[in-house]
Amino acid sequence: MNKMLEQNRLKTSQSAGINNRKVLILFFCWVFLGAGMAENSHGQPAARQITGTVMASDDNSPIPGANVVIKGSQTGTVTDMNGKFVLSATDDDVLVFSFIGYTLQEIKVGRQTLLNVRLNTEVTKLDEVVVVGYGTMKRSDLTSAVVSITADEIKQTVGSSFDQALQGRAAGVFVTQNTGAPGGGVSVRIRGIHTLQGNNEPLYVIDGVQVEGHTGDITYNNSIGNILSTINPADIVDMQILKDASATAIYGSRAANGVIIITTRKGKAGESKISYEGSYGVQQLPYYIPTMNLREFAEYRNSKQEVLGHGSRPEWQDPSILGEGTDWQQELFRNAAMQSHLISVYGGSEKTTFAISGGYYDQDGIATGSNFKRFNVKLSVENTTRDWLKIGTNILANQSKQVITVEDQGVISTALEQTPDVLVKNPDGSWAGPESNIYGTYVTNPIAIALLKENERKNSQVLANAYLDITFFKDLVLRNEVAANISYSNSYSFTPTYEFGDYVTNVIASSSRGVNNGLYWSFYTSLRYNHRFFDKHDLSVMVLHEASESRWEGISGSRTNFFTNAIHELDAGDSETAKNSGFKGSSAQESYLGRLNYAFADKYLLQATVRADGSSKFGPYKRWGVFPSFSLAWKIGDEAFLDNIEQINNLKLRFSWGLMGNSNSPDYAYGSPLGNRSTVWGTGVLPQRLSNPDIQWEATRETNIGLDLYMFNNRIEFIAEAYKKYTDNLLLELPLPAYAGGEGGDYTGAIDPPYVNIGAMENKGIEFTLNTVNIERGGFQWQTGLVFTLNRNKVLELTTDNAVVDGTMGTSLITRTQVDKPVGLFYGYVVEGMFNSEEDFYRKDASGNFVLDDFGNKVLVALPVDASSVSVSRVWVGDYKFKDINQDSVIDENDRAFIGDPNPDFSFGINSRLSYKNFDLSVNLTGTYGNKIYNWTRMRFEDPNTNLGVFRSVKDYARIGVYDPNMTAVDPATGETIPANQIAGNVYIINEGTDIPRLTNYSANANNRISDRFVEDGSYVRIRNLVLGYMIPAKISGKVKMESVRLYVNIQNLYTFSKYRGYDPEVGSIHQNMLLSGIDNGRYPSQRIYSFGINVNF
Amino acid sequence: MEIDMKNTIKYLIIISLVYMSTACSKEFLERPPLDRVTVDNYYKSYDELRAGTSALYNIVWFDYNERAGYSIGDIRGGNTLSKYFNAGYYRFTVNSLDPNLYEAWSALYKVVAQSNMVMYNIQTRAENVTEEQKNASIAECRFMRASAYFHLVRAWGPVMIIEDNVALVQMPVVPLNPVEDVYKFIIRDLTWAARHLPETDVPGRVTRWSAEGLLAKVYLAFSGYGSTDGMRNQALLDSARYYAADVCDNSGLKLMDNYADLFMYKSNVNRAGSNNQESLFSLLWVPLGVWGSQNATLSDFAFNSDVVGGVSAWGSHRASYDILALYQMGDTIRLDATFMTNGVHYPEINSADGGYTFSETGTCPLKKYVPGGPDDNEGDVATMNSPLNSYILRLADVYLVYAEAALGNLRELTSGDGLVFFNKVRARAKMPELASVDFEDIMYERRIELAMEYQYWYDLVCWYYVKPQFILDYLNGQERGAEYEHVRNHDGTLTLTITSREDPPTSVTAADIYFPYPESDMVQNPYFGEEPVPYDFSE
Repeated sequence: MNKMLEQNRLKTSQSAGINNRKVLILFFCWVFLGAGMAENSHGQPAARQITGTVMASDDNSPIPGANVVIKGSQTGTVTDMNGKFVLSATDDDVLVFSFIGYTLQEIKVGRQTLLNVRLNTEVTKLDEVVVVGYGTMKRSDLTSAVVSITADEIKQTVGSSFDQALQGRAAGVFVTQNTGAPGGGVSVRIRGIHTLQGNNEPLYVIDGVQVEGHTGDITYNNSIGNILSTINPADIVDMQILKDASATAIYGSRAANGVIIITTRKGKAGESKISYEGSYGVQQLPYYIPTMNLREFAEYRNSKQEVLGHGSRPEWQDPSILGEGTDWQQELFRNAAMQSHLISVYGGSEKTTFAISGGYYDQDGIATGSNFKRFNVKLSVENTTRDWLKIGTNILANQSKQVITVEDQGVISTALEQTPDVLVKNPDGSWAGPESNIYGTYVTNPIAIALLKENERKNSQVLANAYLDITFFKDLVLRNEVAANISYSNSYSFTPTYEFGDYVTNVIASSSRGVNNGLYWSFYTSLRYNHRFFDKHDLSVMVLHEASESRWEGISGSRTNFFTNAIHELDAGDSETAKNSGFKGSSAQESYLGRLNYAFADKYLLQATVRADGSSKFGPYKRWGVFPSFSLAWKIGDEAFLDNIEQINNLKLRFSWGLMGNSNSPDYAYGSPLGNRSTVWGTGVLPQRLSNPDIQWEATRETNIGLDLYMFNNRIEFIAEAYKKYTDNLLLELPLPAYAGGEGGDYTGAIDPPYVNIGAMENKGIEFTLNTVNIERGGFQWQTGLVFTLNRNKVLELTTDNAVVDGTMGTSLITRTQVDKPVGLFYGYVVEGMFNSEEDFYRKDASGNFVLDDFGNKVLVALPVDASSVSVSRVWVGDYKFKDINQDSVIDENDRAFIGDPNPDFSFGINSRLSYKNFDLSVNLTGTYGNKIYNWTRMRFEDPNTNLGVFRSVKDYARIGVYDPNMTAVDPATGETIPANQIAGNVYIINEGTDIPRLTNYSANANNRISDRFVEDGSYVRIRNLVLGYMIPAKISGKVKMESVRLYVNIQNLYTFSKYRGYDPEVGSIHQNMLLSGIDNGRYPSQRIYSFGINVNF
Repeated sequence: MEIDMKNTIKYLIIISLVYMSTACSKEFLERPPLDRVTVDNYYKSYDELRAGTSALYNIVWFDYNERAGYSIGDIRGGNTLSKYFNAGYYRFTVNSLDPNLYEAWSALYKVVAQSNMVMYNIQTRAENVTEEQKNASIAECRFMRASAYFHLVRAWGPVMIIEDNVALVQMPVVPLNPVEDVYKFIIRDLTWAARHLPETDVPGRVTRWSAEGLLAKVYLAFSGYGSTDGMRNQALLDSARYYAADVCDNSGLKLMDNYADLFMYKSNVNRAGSNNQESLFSLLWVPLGVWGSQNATLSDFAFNSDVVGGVSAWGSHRASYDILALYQMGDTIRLDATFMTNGVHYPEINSADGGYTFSETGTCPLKKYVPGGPDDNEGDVATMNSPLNSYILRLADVYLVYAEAALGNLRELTSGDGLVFFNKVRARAKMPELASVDFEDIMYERRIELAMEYQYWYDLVCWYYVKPQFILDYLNGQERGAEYEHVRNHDGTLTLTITSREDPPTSVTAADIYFPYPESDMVQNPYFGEEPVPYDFSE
């Protein structure tokens, strides 16, 4: 290394500025100065015996056959079967340790006689074999955009689910946690949004089993359930993220959102290993939104009394004597424990390898009462039965239990809604509730509900595959593989009778029980032929036929009138009240596919794939879709003209194009089912959906250009990608006005509009990955990884009549999607400020003078259509002024505009790892820039006119002062006297500059309508993980017969830098709905986790 | 063990080529739903036709009935109000964003859409049924569609007439149609329905009499539309009278003996043993039914849990001062069945404890559609779940329509069947018969008889057609929003004391007669801002 750099300096000084190639090299040298540290010093002491062991740093297994050489000499040795070596060297010698697949390491002998060396897996993975769709390939032969995430990276995150390890570690992959609830899901977006409705999640292939990210059929449309949380992250050794079409098109109709292939640990020949990984952590809510304490709340309510004539309570006359009251957030959220254990045994003989593991995971939610538990076992076996026959199987089985207590979306809202005057418990220990109020609005006691209600789901699942390879002759292999995903889940809910005070009561206990089960299976047969012709032509061909089917069914039952709260099973309820329901369905797919790989002289690579899919989701005329792709790669680094540039280890240019599909419609969407309806004459039926026999696949065409560059002995790894994805035939439930069939969905008896292929959109972007080994010297290593993702989404075409697609929360329109704009922009009114005094009601010209009409009267500014005059009951000081966008002098729905984009300008991740001797320190930062969040929670709770709990900021509501308390006027219409505080010219805002509107009984101005007041900057940088590890020295761990012991502490979500005013800027999409992205509706926030862990191998 | 590898290989190659080239059967990809029928395999018997129309009696009306119905009919009409819930309806400040207004619009058009679709499916797919059976089912659909449009046209005025929802999907941006055309469309549907519906059917199903009763009401409403001289169209009045008379004279139906019994579970028209011959069209809710099939008004109407056996209730609606002040001396049967006043005893509520006595003297909560608790109703009461049907049209309404049609453009009605039937309604309420009836008597009778049955605002709109200024003055004169205390005197009259008035008082103008169209639909269709376009009636 040292020598190489010296050469490099020489070269660049000789020919600096001569040609571009060298300038480029110079640039990299400059940027990564840390990559090379010169070394000097030479002495001349006596030689002596040095002993030691060479081990792999990831699991501390000994490396037999490693080279140990004295630098600058021919002297050296090779490690024995146990990785041990003996060598004679002087104090000043530098030993060079190397082994294929590991980065070489140099250690100065110094005064040491025992040198235990841990070699890191080589940063570059050029020679490793990566898993691709229906096969494997050498990384250096890849022609497509594929990112790997290793077991090490997965281990640096704490979480129930491995998808959390994707955050900030792979360019082009944008991950948001949908909920912080234990066992809750994340959204993974690979290269943007490709469909307007429903599933934008990638396809997961877990040990050969294809699992859709949005597993509607298995968890039955529950947004909390996350199938990915059913796998123990510690079992995973490798994740491959297939990004471009040439990598994914082999999955045809399920590929448009990208594919993530997950491989769990397999055995290898050799002595069996036992390893244990365990951790224990404590989670907490990083941030509490300031709400009023009881004194503040009483003052606020007393002032409401003054203005509105209602709100106060006699016991609040002197707020100063009151206490703090209840802080419902503090009551509801807690420090919660989590623990994870996994023990695995793996090994094998030449003929048979195996891996077995068993794990346990237990996470309490930070919201009282919630919990997630999982047991899992895993078995992988492979046997070479004959020299022409190999069989194997992988079985992942788990059982999990999720206790939800308070509904996910409701938990935050309920804690904020409840007021500080309500106690959690009465002095006698019983649950408390709100007292009588004139509003008749009573919020429940969320703590009591969380603890009393039963809301649980148990899930048992087996993911399994089995395969058989027959090698007819050396180059021709037949493979059969069957895969299955079997799930069985139970759900339980019970609402007991309760009495929280006089007004929140439930006199009838009710219970429901549900059982769902699902089966997915696939079976394929493939034939693969590889051959090298005439020394330079490598050819590989595969053909495959696959059939797959999903079946699901379930039943549920309920009863009410339980005679006791102790027994929750249905039998204890009143049989007269029994209700039950069931569902059943299936879908199927059949595919033919082929792949051809051709390489000329190992430098020019070509891949072509084609897949034909037939899906039961489409009608007979549109059932089949064909998805081709091709890609080319040129390994420039292997060309002769680059041979003399030693700094470049590898340079590869890639180009790919492909077509992928997405069958994003419910089953039988092409037909017209009749829904079963309960009537007084038994079951009736009504049409459920208008049919459209012509619906077809969403089709995504993607073009990708990529560059892989490895330099300086692979210490710099640089990958750049640029892509453009064009998605046509966007499938969407046709947005129709309510008069076309009623709205509210199927369960209200409405006719759902048909699914239609409605338009087109585009995603284009660039991605960079830069991994560097900045310093590697004397046992000290510093590695950095940077990923950068930039994606631009744009809708190109919509064929609805009004050419917009709207996203609504309840009946409130909150986002609008239209041509030439990104998907799901926030849409609402624009605030121009507050009316502070009378003059604000009148228009002014640019120079600040009042605009006058023909009669010389001042002209009112545009007012809301329902509040077209200035008065206490219409628009008044302390109300918001909205912008008259269409300048028609009235504020109505035509004055709404695009007020924010939830999509980030770019997102990034920075990973840095320092190791010195036995210590290692990793930091992982993730962030986004430029995305906006609609703070729905603030819209609800920063409203001074709600009768529920409010944020502390509401204390600063606009206070209306009177210039002259004795002024009166006479209403010319009625002749009645107008009091001083109702004369527009006599009132003003005392605390001018506040952004909270006035107290009022009238909502004519609708101050809290959807507007840019609640659009906030969602950019953030988060210290997602900080891990400090320590490897116990081998001489200590060896004494207790352990090969290695590593201890670590990990802080997850240590700190988030953000201007966002809600709990957490990582908001995600509501129910995975692309039209409702970036809306913070009291999402369960991500927790901060302090954890301690241990990895042991023996 | 020696195996002849060559042969094995050949054998395996052949096998593998064979099964790779074998595709799945075509049926493998054919996956119709397993848990529901589809249009392709349904409507194959008369029973299936009947099951195809049965849900038009509940779920499609659910969103209308839940909150919009009483908000439009009774809160807007001035019969009831809450300061805290849907107050915009009595204050006339409902705007196009109002969620309940949207629910009403959406639900009524849902009735239209489902009626159209069921009709379409029957017309195109019905098998193994007689022409008469097929027509009777189609007539049910047309009755439902007409009923929905009758609500729509009175609430919004010009609306879009939709007959073919399949075609509408291709071209959803359609213009509004004028009020006259909507009435003509309704009349065409009901006339056809009256001809094809049976005279008797399973109790609860609409019959010829239902269609004729509604037709009479529609003709009466339409007779005043467009009047410029305060006179109704005599030909339309005659039609109203004709159909009302046919129902009153020939249907064989009669009023229930006891007014209060109309709102008892046992009187649900579809119940075995029910002697309800008054219902012409009720929404038929499933007791303890699943969401969408049940009567959700219970918890909005019951003023606390005590009157519904402890199930959750939050009704903040109270009788308006205006209607309480109107009750004539002796009209206590209808008063007590509609609103609770001090000291009145309800044996049917908490019957196991000997009944319930209302003892407050402040504002008066609702009684109509508050049937007591589970124990009073065979267990069939739960939160937001009342077992009572909701009347849309009952015989007493048709009697009053008859009287009003007979009064027509006269100052007073002093003789004839119209007066006879008018007095039958009063007689049932134990009120003295009137020798002559003028318009204000009609107003009183309709308001009191049908209070809290979602009718009064619609009546006011129809009267506004003929007497716009009179109705505006009437509305501005109503004591809306006043707080009061009441004393119930020994003679059953009420002494009411206003404690505070609405401030500022509500003012009603011509612009307040029709509701604004829901915003979410307006933004999708620019025609909402344009003049209605005459409907093309050619088929």
